[in-house]
Amino acid sequence: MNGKTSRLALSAMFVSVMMVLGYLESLIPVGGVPGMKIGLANSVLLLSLYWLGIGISIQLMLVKVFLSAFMFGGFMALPYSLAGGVLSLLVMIALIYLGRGVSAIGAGVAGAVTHNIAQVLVAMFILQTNQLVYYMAILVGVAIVTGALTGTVAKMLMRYLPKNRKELFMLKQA
Amino acid sequence: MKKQDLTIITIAALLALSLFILNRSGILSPKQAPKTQEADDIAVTIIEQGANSKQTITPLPLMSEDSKRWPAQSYLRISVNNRIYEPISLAGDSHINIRREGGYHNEAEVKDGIVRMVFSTCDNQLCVKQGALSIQNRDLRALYHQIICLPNEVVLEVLDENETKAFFGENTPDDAAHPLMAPLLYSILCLAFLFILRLTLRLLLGVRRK
Repeated sequence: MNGKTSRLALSAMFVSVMMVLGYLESLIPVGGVPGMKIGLANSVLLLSLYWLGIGISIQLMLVKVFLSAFMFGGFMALPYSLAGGVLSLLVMIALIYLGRGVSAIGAGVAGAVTHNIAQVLVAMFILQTNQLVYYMAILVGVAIVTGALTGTVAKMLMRYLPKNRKELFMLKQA
Repeated sequence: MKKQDLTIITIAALLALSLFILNRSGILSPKQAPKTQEADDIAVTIIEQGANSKQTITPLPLMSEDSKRWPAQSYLRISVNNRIYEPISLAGDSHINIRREGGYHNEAEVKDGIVRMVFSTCDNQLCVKQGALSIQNRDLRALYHQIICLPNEVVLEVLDENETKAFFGENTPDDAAHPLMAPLLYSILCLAFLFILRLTLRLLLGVRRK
C-alpha cells in the first residue's frame, strides 16, 4: 500500500463498487417511499475511511454523488444525496478518528441516521413544511437497522485491511 | 460491537421516539393558514364526478365564503409549490388536475374517501407508487397523512375535521379534546420499549457493564 498508483487504483475500484451497489439498490422496490434503502454503498465508504483516510474518502463520496446523478438521471435528487452524503461523512469521520471505542457498527449507524435526517431536512426546506417529522422518525428507526447492517458488512470486510491500517484502528479500539 | 456503539444506537432510538412523540403531540401542526398570493402559473381543477361540473379552485384567501364544503369527516388539502389551496371534502368522488407552468402535471383521484395520485410527469413516479390514502389508513402509512411528489412540489394531505377547522376555519377546536394524556402515554410506552430494546441488545450481543 504505497505509491500513488495503487491508491488511485483502489479508490477507482471503491467508486465503481459504490456505483454498482447504489444502482442495484435502486432496483429493489420499497413501495414508493423515498429514502428507504439499505445503503450498502455506505459500507464501502466506511471501509475506505479506515483504509484510505479522510481526504480520499471525501473525494470518493463527492464523485459517487455526482456520478450517480449524471448516470442514473437523478438531478432532482442531487441536493438530497449531497446533503446526506456530506453530513453523514462528517459524522463518521468524527466518530472514527475522534471517538474512542466506536467500531464500524456505531459509525455506520450514526452515518445512516444523519444521512436520512439531512435528506428529510432538505425536503422540509424545499416544501416549507414541518409535517415531515413523522417520516423522519420512521427513517431514523429504519436507519438504525440498515446502519447496523452496513457497519457489520464493513467490519467483516476490515479483515482485508493492510497491516499498518489495521494497527492504526483495530489496536486503538481493542 | 462495543459499548459506545450501543450508546449510539440508543441515542438514535431516543431521537426517533422523540420525533414520533413530537409529531403526535400536535405541537408542530400548523394552527392557522398562512397568507398566500394568487398564482397565475398554477391551475388546480376539480372535476366532480356525477355532477359533471368543472371548477377551478383558487388559493386560500377566497375560500372563506365557500361553506358548503364543510360537512364531511375528512378533507384533502392540496399544496402546490408552497401555495395551499382550499380543502376538498372527501365525501364525494372527484378528479383533480394540477397543472403548473413548465410542464408539471399531476392528476389525483378521490373515490370513496380514498385519495390516490394517478398520474404524474415526474421521473421517479414515487407519488403514484405511494398508493391509497384515506382517513382510516393514514396512521399506518410511512408518510402518515401525505402523498408527496417532490419533483413537482405537490403535497396532498388528508386532514380530519378538527385539523381542517383549526387550519382553515375561524373557530379553533376545543383543546380539551387533546389533553396532555396522549403524549404522556406515548412517552411511557416509548421508555418501556427502549428498556426492553436495551435488555435484548445486551442479551443478544453479550455486552456487560464493567
